[in-house]
Parts: sequence; C-alpha cells; structure tokens
Amino acid sequence: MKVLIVDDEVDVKDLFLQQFRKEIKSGMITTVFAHSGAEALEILANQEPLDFILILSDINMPGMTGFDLLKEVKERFPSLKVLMVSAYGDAANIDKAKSIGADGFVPKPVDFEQLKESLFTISQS
Amino acid sequence: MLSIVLMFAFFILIYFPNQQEKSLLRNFNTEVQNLSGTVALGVKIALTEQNFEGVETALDFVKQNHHLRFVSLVQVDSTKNNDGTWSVKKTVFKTYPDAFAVDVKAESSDSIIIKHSAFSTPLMKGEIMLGMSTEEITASKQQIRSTSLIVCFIVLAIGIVIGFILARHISVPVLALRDAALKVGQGDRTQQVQSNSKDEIGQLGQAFNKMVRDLEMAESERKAAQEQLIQSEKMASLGQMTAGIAHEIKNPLNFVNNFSKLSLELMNEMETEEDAEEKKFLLDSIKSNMVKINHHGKRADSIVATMLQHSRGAAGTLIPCDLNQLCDEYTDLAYHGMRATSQEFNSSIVKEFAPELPPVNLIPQEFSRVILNLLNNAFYAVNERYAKELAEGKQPEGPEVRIKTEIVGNYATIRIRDNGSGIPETIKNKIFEPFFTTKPTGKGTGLGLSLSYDIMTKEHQGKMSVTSEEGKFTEFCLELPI
Repeated sequence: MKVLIVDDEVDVKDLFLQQFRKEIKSGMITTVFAHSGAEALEILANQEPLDFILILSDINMPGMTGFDLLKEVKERFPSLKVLMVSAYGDAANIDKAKSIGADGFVPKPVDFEQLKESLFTISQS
Repeated sequence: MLSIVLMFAFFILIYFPNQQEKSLLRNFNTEVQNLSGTVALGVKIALTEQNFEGVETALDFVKQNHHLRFVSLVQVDSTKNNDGTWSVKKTVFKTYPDAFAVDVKAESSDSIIIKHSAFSTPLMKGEIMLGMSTEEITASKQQIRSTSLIVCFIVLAIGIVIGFILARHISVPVLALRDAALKVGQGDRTQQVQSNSKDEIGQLGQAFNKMVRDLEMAESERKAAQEQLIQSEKMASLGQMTAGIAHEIKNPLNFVNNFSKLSLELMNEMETEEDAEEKKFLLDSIKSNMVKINHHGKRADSIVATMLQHSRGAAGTLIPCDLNQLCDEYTDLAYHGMRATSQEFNSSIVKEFAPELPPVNLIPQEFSRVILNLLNNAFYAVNERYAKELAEGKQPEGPEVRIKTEIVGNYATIRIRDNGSGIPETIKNKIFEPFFTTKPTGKGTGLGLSLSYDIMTKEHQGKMSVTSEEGKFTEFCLELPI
C-alpha cells in the first residue's frame, strides 16, 4: 500500500514515519510526503497513482485547501481513495468532506490506531 | 400689540369724539340758521305791520336760549356808486345783549356759530345776525372722550382680570408644558408637570406625564438592549476567535500526544532491543520527539496566552507591544476562525511587516478586536465578490487580503486591504455608524466598525480611515501614535 500524506506541518513526516515504522519496515506500507496540495497533485501526475491511498492531513492549508485538493483528486483520479484528517472535526465539515467524495474522516489530535484501522478498511474496499 | 393699543387709543380719544363733534356742529349750524330765519321772519312781519313791540317779541324768541351769545338786528343799505357798482353797508340797529360789540363781518369760529337771515320790508332791509355758543358741543365732545376713556378702562380692567384668570388657568400650565417638553427634547426625561385640574388642561398634563414616563422606560430598555447587543458582538467575536484558537491548539496537541505516546513505545522497544545501533537510533528518535513535544507544548501555551489576553474584559492599560507579532497572530486567528465557521471560505493572505517597527503602546485585548473585525470583514468581502463573479460565469481574481505595517511620521500604521467589491460612495460615510451593516439579517450586528472606531480613537488616541474603489478594493488604515 502506497500512501501519500499531505500536510503543511513539517513534523507530520516524522510523526508518520515513526507511527508506521513497523509497517514500513515490513514493507506493508510505502510513504510519500507532500507539503501542499499543488505538490501532491504533481506527485500523483508523475507517478502511478492507482496504488495510492491519499491521506489529506488538515483541510486548512495555505493556497489549495484540503477540500480543493479532494475535489481535484476525485475528478482526475476517481479510483483513488481519500482519507481526510483535520482539526475541523465538527459534523458540518465531516458531511462536507463526504459529500465531495472523501472515503473517511479522522479528526485531530489523531488517534493513530483509528487511522490505521480506517486505512486498512479503505484499502480492502 | 402696541400698535393695536395706539390705534384703539386714537379711535377712542380723537377720531370718535371728533366725528361726534362734527356731527353735532352740523346739526347746530342748521339749528342756528333755522333760528335766525325764524327771528328774521318775526321781525319782518312786525316791521311790515310797523309793530315795534313785535320786533322785540321776535328777538325774545332766542333771548332765552342758553346758547345765545348775541342776536342783532342789522340794517342793510345798498348804494349805487359812481362807477355803477353797488356798495352794501351794514349797520347794527339793535343788539341783545346791549353791551355786546357786534362786528357785522364776524364769521363763525370754534367757539361761536354766526348765522345771517335777511329780510326785506318797505320800512327797511336788514338781516338778523345770530351768534350761538358752541360751548356745549365742545363740552359734549369732552364728555364723549371722558366716557369713552372710562368705558375703555373698565373694559381693559375686565380684560386684564379675564386675562389673568386665563393665564393662571391655561397659559401658565401650557407654558410649563412647553418648557418641560423642551427639556425632554434635550434629554431630561425626569420632567413632570402639575396636572391637578379635571379639565382638558389637566388631562393634557396627565397625558404628557405618562408620555415622559413611557419615554424614559423605552430609553432604558433601548440602552439595555443596545448594551446587550454590544456584549453579543463582543462575545461573537470572542466565540469566533475561540473557534480559531481551538483549531490552532489541536495541531500542537496532535504532536504532543502522538510524539509522547510514540516515545513511550520506543522506550519500551529499547528495553528489549539488543542491537546497539538500533538502540541508538531509537534513543535519537526519542530525543528528537522530546524536542518536538516541548516545541509544540510551548506553541499551545502561547495560543492559550493569546486567548486569555483577548478575553480579559477589564478596562485595559496601554502597554508596549510588538505590533508585527500581534498582527501576525491575529491574522492567523482570524483566518482559522473564519475557516471554522464557514466551509466555503478561502483567501490568500499577504503579510508585509515593517522590520524596524518599535514597540507600540496599545491595549492588546481591545486592539486585537479591531484587527479581527477588519480581517473578518475583509475575508467576507473577498469571498462574496469571488462567489458573485463565479456565479456570473467570470474568471474571478483569487480572493486576497493583505496586511501591512509601517511607520508613517509619528504613527505606526496598519493597512488591511482586500480585493473585494469595495464600498459604494453612497454608504462610505455610514459604515462607522452603530448598527449599520450591508450583511444579510443575522450575519452581522453592524457594531464591529463602530466599536473598532471607538477603540482606535478613544482608547488608543489613534486614527481609523478607509479608502475604497467600488469593484476593486477596500483598504482600512489604522494609525497608532508612537
């Protein structure tokens, strides 16, 4: 499973690398990081996107927001699964994410157990 | 009023008596003429009959008249001159009273009416000259004048009494009502008037008193409602900011929780790890995590400190602040606050902070309210324009809000500029008015700018102004004295 993590916060990379260290070591997961929506789209355009599960961390990013990116991804790569992670964890935001096509939503602060569970559920579907 | 009195006085004292006198004199003239005519006839008859006693009798006719000044029997002789003209010579034949010196040429004057009645007999031609005194008429005129004056004074006295009564009963209460109404108009809503009488004046007074009491109550309610609305506006801005802050805190908390949990796991792994290299790697990771935990913990702390500073409601004192840092923090807060409340919202933010800005005296919790208000308005405006142009099928320019600090003269200046729809010229001078808003009902109280203006001018002795071009941009300029 190839996962693209998009977040403008620098420490997110370290966090995910540590959280998924066992899965990365065993080869179950490969991680790629982008610091903006634009960077994420560039990565997707240049690589084979089909085995990605894209994690959007934080709806609130400078420039292209998480929702904008989600919309773009669903239009261009409709088979890509998207999991939203955001500090805006209220019902309205969750509903909006789902209406645009998000396959799941994880609120911040992230419970990584829950995140892993959602990841695997989505990858199976 | 004076002219009416003067006209009236003229009429009473001069015109009316004069007219009366003229009328009496006319009648008197006629009477005297008739009398002289009667005497002349009597004399004529007596002379014709050569009855000289009859002449006396005729003259006696007027002797008893108390107006009589004189009666004369005048002989009239006509002689022809050499040139053919006639000369008339009049000679007094007899006069009563005897001592009265009669001038045959005498004419009527103010004090005497003189009338002539001619007669002709075979014995003599003559005339009766009758002089009657106008004393009584003059006296009568005086009497009329006096009577008029007396009547006048009586009527005046009655008028004064009536006026006094009316004044007491109507004018004084009405004037009191007018004075009270004027004071109410100037803001004194404690005015009450006396309203004891049971008539219309009393009722008017009671109605007035009730109206003033109702006005005072309505004003108190209005003030209370306005105060409440201002508090709501402050709470709403606080609430919005709190939402922004809450979001802000979740990010650092995410790292604190997860890195600490991770570190614990790594420490547990270290206990069972035998490979030295792997152990070192784990230890390094743990150390790195601790640094991150510390960093994000402090980040959360400063966010809370900012929130506390903002929510402190007590009247603040001016303290020297880093204006750039304040503007930077509150721009982010406003942005996140807006994002938290409106999913459609987006905008790019450009920050241009002057590098050499000295500390600026301000009340952080109040000044931050101004920045938040202006930024919220800017975000709203840019998104409104963007959505509108999208709906019209245009390719709209991306929403952008710029915040810039600089020193201009003796002021630290903050400019907040948006590329929204601008402010129409027609409403530009209203935007600082309390309760004025162009937002739909429920979206804005209209108090933000008016509160901000008061905060800038009254609490900071600063300035606040706006420039705008409809369809292009709006820029608010805040100036703080340094």
